[in-house]
Amino acid sequence: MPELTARLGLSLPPGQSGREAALVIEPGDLRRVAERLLCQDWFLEDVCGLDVAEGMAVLYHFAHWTRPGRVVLRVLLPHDAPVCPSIEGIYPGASWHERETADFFGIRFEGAANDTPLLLAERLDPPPLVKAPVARMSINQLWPHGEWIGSARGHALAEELMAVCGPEEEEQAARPDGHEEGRS
Amino acid sequence: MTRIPAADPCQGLEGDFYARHFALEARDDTLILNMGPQHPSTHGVLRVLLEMDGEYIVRSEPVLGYIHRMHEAMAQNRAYVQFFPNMGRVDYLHALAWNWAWAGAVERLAGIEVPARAEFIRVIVTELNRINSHLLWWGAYLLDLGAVTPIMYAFEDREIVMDMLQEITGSRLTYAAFRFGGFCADVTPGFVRDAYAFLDRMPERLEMYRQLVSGNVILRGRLEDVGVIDRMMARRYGATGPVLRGSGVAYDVRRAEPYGAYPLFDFPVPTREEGDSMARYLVRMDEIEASLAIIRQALDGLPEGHHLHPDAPRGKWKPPAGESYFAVEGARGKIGVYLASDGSEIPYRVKLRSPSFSNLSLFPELARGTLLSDAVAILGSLDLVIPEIDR
Repeated sequence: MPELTARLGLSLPPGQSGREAALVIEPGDLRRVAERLLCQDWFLEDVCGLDVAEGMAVLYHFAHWTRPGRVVLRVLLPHDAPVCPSIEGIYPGASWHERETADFFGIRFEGAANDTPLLLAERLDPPPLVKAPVARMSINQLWPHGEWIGSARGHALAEELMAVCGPEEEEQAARPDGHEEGRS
Repeated sequence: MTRIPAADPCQGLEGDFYARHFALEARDDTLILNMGPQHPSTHGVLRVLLEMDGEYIVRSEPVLGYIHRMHEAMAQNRAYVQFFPNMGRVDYLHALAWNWAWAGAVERLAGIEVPARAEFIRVIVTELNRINSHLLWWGAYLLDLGAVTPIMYAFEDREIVMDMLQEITGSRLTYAAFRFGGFCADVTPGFVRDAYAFLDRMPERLEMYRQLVSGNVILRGRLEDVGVIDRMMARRYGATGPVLRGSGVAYDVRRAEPYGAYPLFDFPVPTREEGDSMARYLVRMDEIEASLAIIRQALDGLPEGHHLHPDAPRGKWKPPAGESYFAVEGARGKIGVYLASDGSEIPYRVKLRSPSFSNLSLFPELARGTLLSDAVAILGSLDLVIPEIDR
């Protein structure tokens, strides 16, 4: 299994919910996946914070000019230190969305050039859209069992994304055992 | 041991928090200029910080949030149907498109059916509202550029549309007219008569606008080759609507993600290749004609039936748990509503994707190296509605 796709859970929508595929990714893979999506001509619609029982989720919605469907990247961060890599170097339009999410959810976007509050005059504590722990809902309820998580076989767009978001051919050739990275 | 606070990097600089942070990176020989938040050509309370080298813009940064009302938090403390009045106030110029985005997101989540007649009424009123929005933009933009008369003409047409919409929705500007499963009221014979009269009136008016303004040599001098957005820039910033179509991309949510009765209608998606302010101007003028064509088809083919589904939910009710995303084409671009529900009477999370927000975010890159007077032309050509950006 290629290194990146091994950590790439993929869930399919149960029906018409306004999205075609949702990728559950690790924060460390975010910039890489965003880069691949830009190369495939997807554009960023918005960045949406979501406070759930399991952690602080960040949803990145992507759409395409010529293809139907919407791709969602889901990143789950811990509640005590929500830190996420910034993708403004890849999508400069993400900068404002990230600053807005930082305002409302207190998430820190690492690597952003400008992290001053965007819509609020100052940082609020607690951030206005963070829920009380008892009010948080579980992701099992929000993203129900109807959609499964596993390999993406059988769904055209999902398969393509898996192929695109995995490591490139040359990388695999250079690292035949897939464990070279981080050893030197 | 006492802790010594770190020195303020902005010490000795003038202005408020944003101005001082902006001035930190300024050169010694430049001037920091505040445009707004009370500047007439910023259409509301947008503030743009500019670093000027003579008359040229070196750097710029929009400062937002002056009319931030936290609609997303308001959504989390009221019943689903009670959020419609908020939708009328996010973008007061194309309120019905926001109505539709909210209704669509909830209908998609709960699987609510909409009668065919209601779908047609939705198309008619939303397109009328789009024409109204473009007319106000047209008048106000020319006012920014120094022509005082056109806005009077635009308002003459706007009044007609507002009277028509008032007859069936009860409001003139901040509509809360959509309902889950339909529309608040049926069209009246008077509305249909007035709508046909309006369709007959507009081509003449548009021809007059073309002769009066669009071909004007001063206007063309101010707009042509000013603020050129290329496709790659539009993609990186997520620009949509006439801003994107002015750069030659025929992307329209009504076609790309068909919703409502739009697949039944034949209408063009106007584009221009140039990508400059004039291209965006001409795209919007063409869009008024496209909307007129849609309204005529919808009026001609208006089916019989209910304007609201008989089993539509009323008052407080509970949709299933889950999430949905619904996008519509607003006058300024792609409006998106993300909705997460925990199955209770009030929404768990609502995210509003506003087109002006993304369209304005490319301004700093676009304005670099242009003249100050061109910045006014560029800002106006983006057709900003500040309450929509701040939400």
